[in-house]
Amino acid sequence: MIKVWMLLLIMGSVLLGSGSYIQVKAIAAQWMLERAWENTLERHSLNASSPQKPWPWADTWPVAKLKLGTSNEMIVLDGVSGNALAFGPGRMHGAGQVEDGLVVMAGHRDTHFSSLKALVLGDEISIQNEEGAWTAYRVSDISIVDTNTHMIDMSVGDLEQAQLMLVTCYPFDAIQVGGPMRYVVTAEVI
Amino acid sequence: MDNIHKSNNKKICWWQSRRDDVLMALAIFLLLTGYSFSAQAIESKALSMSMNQVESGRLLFKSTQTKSAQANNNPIKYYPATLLSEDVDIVVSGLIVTARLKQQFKNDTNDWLEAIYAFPLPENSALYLMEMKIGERVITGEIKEKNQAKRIYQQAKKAGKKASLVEQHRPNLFTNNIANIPPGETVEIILEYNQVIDYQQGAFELRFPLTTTPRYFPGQKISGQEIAIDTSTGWALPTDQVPDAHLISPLTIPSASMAKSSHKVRLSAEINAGFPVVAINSISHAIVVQSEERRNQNTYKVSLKEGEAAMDRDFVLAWEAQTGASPKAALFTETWKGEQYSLLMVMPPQQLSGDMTLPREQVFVIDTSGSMGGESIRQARTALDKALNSLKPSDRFNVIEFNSTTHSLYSSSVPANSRNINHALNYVRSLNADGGTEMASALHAALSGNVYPGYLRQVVFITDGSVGNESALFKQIEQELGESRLFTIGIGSAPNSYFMKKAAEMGRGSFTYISDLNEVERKLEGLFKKLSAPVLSDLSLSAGLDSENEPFESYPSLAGDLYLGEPVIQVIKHKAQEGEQNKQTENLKLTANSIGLHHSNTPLWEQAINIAGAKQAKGIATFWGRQKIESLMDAQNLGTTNTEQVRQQVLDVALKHHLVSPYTSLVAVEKIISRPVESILRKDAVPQLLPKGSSSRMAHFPQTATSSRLYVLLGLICYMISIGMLYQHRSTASFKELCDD
Repeated sequence: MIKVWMLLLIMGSVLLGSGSYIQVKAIAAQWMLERAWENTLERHSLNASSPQKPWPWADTWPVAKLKLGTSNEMIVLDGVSGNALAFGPGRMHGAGQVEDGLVVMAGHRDTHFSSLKALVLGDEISIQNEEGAWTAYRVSDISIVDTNTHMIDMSVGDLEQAQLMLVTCYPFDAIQVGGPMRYVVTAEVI
Repeated sequence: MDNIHKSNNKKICWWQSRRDDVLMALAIFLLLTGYSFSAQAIESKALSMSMNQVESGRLLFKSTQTKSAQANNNPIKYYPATLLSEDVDIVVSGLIVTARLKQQFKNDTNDWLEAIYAFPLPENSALYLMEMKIGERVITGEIKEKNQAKRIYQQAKKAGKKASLVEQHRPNLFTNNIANIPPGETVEIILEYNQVIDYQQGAFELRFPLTTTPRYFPGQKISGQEIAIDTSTGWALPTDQVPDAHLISPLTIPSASMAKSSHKVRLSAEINAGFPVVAINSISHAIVVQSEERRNQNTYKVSLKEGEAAMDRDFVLAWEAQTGASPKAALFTETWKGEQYSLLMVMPPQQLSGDMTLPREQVFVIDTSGSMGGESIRQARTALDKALNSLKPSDRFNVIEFNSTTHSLYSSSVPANSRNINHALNYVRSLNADGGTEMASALHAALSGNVYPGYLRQVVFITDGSVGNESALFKQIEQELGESRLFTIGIGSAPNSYFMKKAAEMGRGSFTYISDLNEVERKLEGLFKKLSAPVLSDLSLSAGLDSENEPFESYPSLAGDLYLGEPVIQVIKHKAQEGEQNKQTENLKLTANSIGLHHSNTPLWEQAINIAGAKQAKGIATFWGRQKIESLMDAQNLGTTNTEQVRQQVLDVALKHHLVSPYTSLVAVEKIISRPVESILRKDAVPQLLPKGSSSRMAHFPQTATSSRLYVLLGLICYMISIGMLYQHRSTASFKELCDD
C-alpha cells in the first residue's frame, strides 16, 4: 500500500518537475541568449559575422531580437526545430531578411509566444537585426489557421511591403501537443 | 455467532489483500481517462474553431473558393492561367531510347499569353527536335546560337507572331517559352530526344522525369545591380554562386492544390529489346503491359493503368533480361551524312580474378536540408540504417549530417564495433530535415584529411541533389577527391540526377537511385556488392595499331573506375579512311590494365570487338554529338580549358547535329501575325507540381507547443490520488486489527 502511495508521489513529482523544467529552461535560456546576442552585435560592428553560440554545444544561435508591443524583449534563434524553440522563438529557414520580404518566426504557445494572444490589430512589433538596427512593424492581421489545409507561401518575393509572420499553436490553453491549429499574427513594416 | 463473525472477517481479509491491486488499477484508470478526456475536449474545441473562424491570411496560400469549401476540408486550389498536359511516347530499341513528348499549353484566360515552362529531361538526353503545332499546322524549330535564337523569338513575340523557344539551363533542365497563345486556344510543342538506356547488374531502368525538387541556391543574393532581372519566372533571386537561379526555380504547387484539369501526363512505352525480357515493372506508377510478337521478336507495350497521371513524380520503368539472355556485348552502327558512328556496350565478366579486398573506411554523408523533408528523409534514414548494419567489424566508419551547417558524428572515422554502430544508429534515427543545402562544406568534411592507412575510403553520399551550384561542386570533388571514392545515392520522387550522376563520375564511384522506401533494400544490396568487389580501371579502347593516332573519336572518357555489374558504353565516330581502302578499324579492343589492387603494363582483361558484326540502328550520330558536348563542358567546368574555345567547339557540334546545348537553342516562329497590336501580352510562368511526398517552399507550420502543461497536469493528478490514498489508508486502518486475530 505504502509502495503505491510512494510511487504515485514520485511520479507526480517527476512530472511536475519536468513540466516546470520546460518553463524554467525557457526563461533561463533567454538570459544566456541575451549575452550571446550582445556578442553578436559587437562582432558585427567589428565586421566579423560568425554566429555566436550561447553555449558551446548549442546547435542554434541568436539571429534577432523581438519586441512585442509593450511586453518584454526576447532573443530569436536560428531555425524552428524543437531544440531551438525550447530556448526561444525561432526564425524559419528559407524566408526573407528583416528589411525586405517575409520573415516567419515561431514560438511555443505556453512559453515565449504566450504573449501573442495579447496583441491586437495596430500593435507595434519591432525586430533588431544582427547589425543592431531596429525595424518596426504594425499588426495587420490576426487569424487562426488549420495546418491540414494551409501552408506558408515562402516564395512570395514581390511583396509590396516587408512582412513579419508570428506563428504559435492554438488554442493557447490547450494541454494536448501536436494539434492542427495555429495562431498567426501578420504585421507589415511601418 | 462466532462463526458468522469469522466468515465476515474472512471476506474483509480478502478485500484487504486485494485492495492494493484495485487501487492501483483505479489510479491508472484515472490517469488515462483524465488525459484522454482533456485531449478530446481540446480537439473538439479546435474543430469547432476551424468551422467558424478559420481564415487564410494574405501570405497563406489563399483559396479562391468560399469558406464552406474549406470547412469541408477541401484542399485549397491553385488555378493556373495556362493549363498544361503532356503526352509522352517512348520507344526503346536495343540500347537506344527515343522519346517524343507533346506539351499542350491551353490559355485559360481572356488575355493573350506568353507561357514559360521550366521542365526536366533525363540528364543524358540529346534533344534534337522541336515542332510547334497550331491546329493542323506544324512549324519545325531550327537550331540557332543561343542569343540569336532569343532575338528571333523576342522579335516574333513583339510582332504578335506565335513562337516557341527551347533553351537548356542544365543538362537535365530546360525552359520552353511560347509566345502569343490566343485566349482560350491551345498551342502544342512537340519535342524529341534520345538517350542510352541505363543497364546495371542485368537490370534495365528507364526514368522519365516529370517534375523537379526545388533547388537550393547558395551564395549572396545579387541585388541593386543595374541589370534588370526578370524574376517572374522563378521564386529565387540570382546569387553570386548561381547567377541563373531565377530561371531554374519554378514555383512548385502541391498536387492536391492544383486544378484537376492541369498537369496531367499520358504515357506509353514500347520495348524492343532484341532479347527475351522479363519482369517489366514500374515502382512509380501502376502500368499495363501488353506483349506482341513481331518477326520472332517480342515487343512489349506499356501504358498507364489509369490512363493519365499527375506530373508529380518521375516515371520509372524497369525490366530484366531473361536468365542467360542478358547481353554481354553489343555493337550498333549508323551512317549519317556520309560518316560512320557506332555504339558499343561491353559487360565485363562478373567474376574477376584478383579479389583482394582491403578493409574499408566508409564515410556516410546524409543531406538533412529542408528539401529532404517528408518521405525523402525517411528513405534516407532507412538507407543509412541498412548501410550501417552492413559494415564488417574490420571496417571503420563515420556519419556526417549537413543542411545549412555540417556536423560529423565522430571527429575522425571509428572502428565499426557494435557499440559505435549502435551509437550511430541512434544518431541517424534522430535526424530531421530543415534548413539549406550547403553541400560544399559536407563534401569537404568527407573528402579532406588523410585516408586511414591500409584502408580504402568510400564516401556514400545520400541526397536529393537539389542544388543550383552544380559545377562549383564538381570542381571541388575533382580537387579534393585524392584516394577517396564518392558514391551517390539519389533519394525522393524527383531528385537532381544530373548532379548525382556527374558527382559520382567525378568521384570515380557510382550512382544509385532509390525512388521508394520499398526499394531501399534491393538497391542498396546492389551498391554494397559494388563497394566490396574489385574494380576495373586504366581502361582503354583501341584499334590496336597506333596508339597516338586512333582511327576513331570516342566518348565518354574511360578515365574512371568500372564497378561490378556496370557496362562500358562507348559512342564512336570513325574517321574517314583516306586513300587506302584497307579496313583498319575492323577490330576494336577494349582493355583494362588494373583489376582491384593489381596493376600491370599489359592488359589484365581484354575483349575484342569485330565491327563487321554490328547491327544498324538510328540516332547514334545524335548521341555521339551529345556525348562530345558533355565531355567538352566537363573540361570547361573543371576550368582546364579555354572557355571561348570550348564554346566554339560546342557550337560546331551542336549546330551540325541539331542539338540543344548550353550555347544553342531551338526556335520556331509562325509567319502570320496572330495578336492584334492593341492587345496586351500577359506573361505566365507555368508552375511544376511539388514532388510527391516532399515538402518545400510551401512550408508547413512548425510545431509550437511543449508538453509542460500536460506534465504539470498529470503530476497534479498523481499528487491528488496519492493524497487520497493516504487518507483512505488512515480511515481503513481499523480493519487490519480484525484480520489480525
